[in-house]
Amino acid sequence: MDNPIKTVNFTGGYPEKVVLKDLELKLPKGQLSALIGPNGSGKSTFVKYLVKDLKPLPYTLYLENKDITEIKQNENATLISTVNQTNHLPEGFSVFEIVQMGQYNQRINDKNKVLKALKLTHTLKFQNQMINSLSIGQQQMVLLARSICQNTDTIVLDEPFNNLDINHTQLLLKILRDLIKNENKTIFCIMHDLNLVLSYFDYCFLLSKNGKIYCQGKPEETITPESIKSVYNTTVNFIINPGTSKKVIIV
Amino acid sequence: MLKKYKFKFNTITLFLVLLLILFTFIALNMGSVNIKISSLFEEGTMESFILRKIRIPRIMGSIFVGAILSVAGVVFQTIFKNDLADSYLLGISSGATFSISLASLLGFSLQNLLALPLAAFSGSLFAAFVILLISRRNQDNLILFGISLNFLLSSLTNLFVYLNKGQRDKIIFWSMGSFSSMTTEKMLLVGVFFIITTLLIYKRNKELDILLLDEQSALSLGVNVKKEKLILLILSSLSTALAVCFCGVIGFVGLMAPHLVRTVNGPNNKQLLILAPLTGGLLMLISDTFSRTILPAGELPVGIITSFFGATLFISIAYRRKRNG
Repeated sequence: MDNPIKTVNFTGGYPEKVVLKDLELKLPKGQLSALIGPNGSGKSTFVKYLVKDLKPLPYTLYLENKDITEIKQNENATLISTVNQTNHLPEGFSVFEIVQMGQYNQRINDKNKVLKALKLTHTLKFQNQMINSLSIGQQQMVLLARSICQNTDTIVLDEPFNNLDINHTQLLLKILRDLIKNENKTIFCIMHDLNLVLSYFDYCFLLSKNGKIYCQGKPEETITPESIKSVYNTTVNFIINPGTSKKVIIV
Repeated sequence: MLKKYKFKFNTITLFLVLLLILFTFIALNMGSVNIKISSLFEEGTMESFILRKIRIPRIMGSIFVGAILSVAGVVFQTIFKNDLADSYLLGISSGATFSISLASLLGFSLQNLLALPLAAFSGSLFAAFVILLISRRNQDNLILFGISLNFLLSSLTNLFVYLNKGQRDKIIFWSMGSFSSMTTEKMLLVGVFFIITTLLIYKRNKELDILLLDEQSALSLGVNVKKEKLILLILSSLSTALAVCFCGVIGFVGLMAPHLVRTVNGPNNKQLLILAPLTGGLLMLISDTFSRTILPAGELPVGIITSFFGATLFISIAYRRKRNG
């Protein structure tokens, strides 16, 4: 089986503290997957490993079946692109210039591809505006466009729906769906909003507090009163959303 | 293509080049002796000697040094993500003065074109690595650390200068920053160094742009952040060291020129790395021309002039930054 991201007996964290332990994760190709789990379970730490900000032990983390410790930074950026949670966006750059940075890994300067990425994320109209003049939701779309410009098969987004209003949330979901359908992308999101995962995602991994995968599979099978009780240590109820016929959590 | 700023890049470049040419001619004319530029083509006269051996090296030297310090300023400001960063304020210039004053105490002449630059390189690289290590732990108070490092190295420099009785006056005047000892050889050396280091840095203009983002984004875009920062830091520390070696510490030019250019033309490093050295060279030429003509006899160290204007700008940037939060 072809997995864009695969971990084998993966352990990760910081000198002071091990955050992720014995992680066995195989990301399904061509799907919209989510990594969920309580605060501090190591979700964002995992993203740091994916961009080589932190260095894992050899033979524990693979991108496209290559050991990440043997992948150079630039090659890494051609296998996987990420949209980070905390983004420091510098003053004085236009939206176009920010998206163009995504082509650094390919050493190209292709205006048409930048424009295409802007179009896919519905941000073409902002191309000449300053990045800092945009709302957070719009900035999020621009950063996704930059990821698209990197031309990787896999895109990882760290809590992309944070700070988005309903309109932008639906827009982002539609864009991600289109990317999977039309561009053959694999998309992996770190998520907090379990209802979005239940309603719109294909697959999910539920991390427990001690940094192990508690369970994984289709969201409606993974996110259950029992697993929530066990991982988040809280009791929730489910109802069926009449619009989508999917389960929804009532807190 | 992008209408962000009032003037076009090409217009600004042309304007700066013309100004530089204009001020070069003005500077050739000015000095303690009145000389016509046409004397340049005479053979064997006092006037042609002064123009060829004194004024031209000094004018070109000051332009190159201003340009070097500005390129270094652009790099420091980018890799430390701090628009107040400058080779002087980070202590990197003081690293060079420290090792030069030590070399002088050990008996090397200030005119030595091999031992002195090597000493300056080692001192500035040492200071640069200290700052780099500090920046990995604490980015917020970097300038404070830099200024403290500056004080620390300066106190040791002062000790070496104090002990160095024979050379004391010379070193003190040199360390205040002056082009008075510029020679054709030094000017050519600084020029060649400027061109090589600036080309190597210019090749990395995309990396510099990306380094302005947060580190995780830069990594995910494919920039090897640690390696690129190290290369850029070494290149700019070496060129700063050579400038300090020949002309002493001339502070704030590396702060002023990039800041002025960013205000007019934005942070795009590809353009900044062309406009900043032009601006820095121009500022330095004007400052030096002032410094050698403003006093009826003798001359003022140029570092005093640049520090006066530069520190004023520093205060205004720091003040505005506080207000913006």
